[in-house]
Amino acid sequence: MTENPELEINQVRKSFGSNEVLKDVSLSIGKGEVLSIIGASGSGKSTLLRCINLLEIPQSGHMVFKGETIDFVDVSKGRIKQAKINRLRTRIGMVFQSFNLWPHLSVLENVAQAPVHVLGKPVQDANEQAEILLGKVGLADKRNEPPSSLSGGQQQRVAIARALAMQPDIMLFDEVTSALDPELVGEVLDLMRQLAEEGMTMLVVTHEMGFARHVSHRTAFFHQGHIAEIGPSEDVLSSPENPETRQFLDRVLNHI
Amino acid sequence: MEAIQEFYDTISGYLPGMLYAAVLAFEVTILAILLSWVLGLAAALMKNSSRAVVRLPAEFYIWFIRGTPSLIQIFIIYFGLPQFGLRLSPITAGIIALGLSSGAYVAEVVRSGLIAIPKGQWESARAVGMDQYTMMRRIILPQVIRIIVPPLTNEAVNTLKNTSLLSVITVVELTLFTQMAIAATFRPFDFYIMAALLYLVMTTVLSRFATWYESRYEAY
Repeated sequence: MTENPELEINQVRKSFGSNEVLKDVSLSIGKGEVLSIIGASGSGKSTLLRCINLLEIPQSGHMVFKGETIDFVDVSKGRIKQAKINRLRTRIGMVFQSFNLWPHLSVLENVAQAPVHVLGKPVQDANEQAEILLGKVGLADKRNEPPSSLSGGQQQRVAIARALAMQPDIMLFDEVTSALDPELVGEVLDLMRQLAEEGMTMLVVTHEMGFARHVSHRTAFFHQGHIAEIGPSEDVLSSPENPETRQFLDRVLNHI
Repeated sequence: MEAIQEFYDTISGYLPGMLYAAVLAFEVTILAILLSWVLGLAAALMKNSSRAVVRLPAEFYIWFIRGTPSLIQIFIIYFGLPQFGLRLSPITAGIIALGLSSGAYVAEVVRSGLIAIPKGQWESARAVGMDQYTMMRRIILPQVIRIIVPPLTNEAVNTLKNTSLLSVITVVELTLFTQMAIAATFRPFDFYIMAALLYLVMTTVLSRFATWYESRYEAY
């Protein structure tokens, strides 16, 4: 376990009906750490991310985020005020596989929307900040375009800028390159590498083994709802101890 | 040519009155539509609630309205309510009855629009910490509106046509005025045709307005 973790999740269980997706998952991530989560589809990786910002509510377990404890049982029983959950979400950035940009708003409005209407920033400040972020993700010239006119890679970079606009303490990436054409994957991964180098705390569910190995400090292998192996990325990916990890990596890395 | 001249001679004296009655029908329609939007939006959001106390009144309202004739609803408002001391003018009763009647259909239209918004849109709004109101106001409803303009237009046209029902509670809208003109002239064909033409003009205006509104968003 990490010392002084930014985020710690303990004994999380989540089922959908009789299907137990997360079985007693515990994990912690330090400030500035990049942690990759790999594993087969349906192993529960995405569900874990969705539990952290409470898009899904686990049946049991708790998390500690920047010293604040959130008991998932309290959340599921409605004992925690919605306002508190919303406030928590403003500090946890989330990027989705399918971008989920808002199609009725321009690129700039997508980025400035939440700072204005959630954080209450003056429109001009939010727009200035959005311009800077769009510059950072290399899309300043697209500010007035509708999202639908952008390529997948560009849309995903806007989605990252939108999450960054909230100045979150941690960013969750949920298979953010899986919906992209192969030639567009690089631009998104480059941006994520840049964020990692700037010291952003990142939890990355990914199928990009190169990213896991070269960018993330640690990698966790998810298997059937629990973490089968976790450790420094180089160790987990090059010399996995767990036979399931080895089998998975064989399948992923040695295909034609 | 002669037939047209005769048609014109027959109705010309009544034309200002018919136009006035048509405008009245149009005004009643606009107010009823506005009422139906408020009711429909509220009922749609209520019907989406997980809490039965919120959901059931909306479900009852929609069920009752959709399962009963508009004419009976109009009678209940205009003839029924005075029994409880609530006496409304024919026009007020008409606007309320038509608004209530249309609101249930608007609710179903809005609901279908809400269902059409992909799950990811709601999730990305929640993920940045938006509360329910902000999410609806900023992210969901603006997208819903674009989807539902065509069916809402249909419903608006229906409401306009249904104003003719208000003739039975003595609102001197186009239909009742036309009947009065026929009673005086015994020329039903000419007057009903003229009334139909005026209704056509009004429904076309409504449809055109909707088309124009839609075209504003074509860029997105």
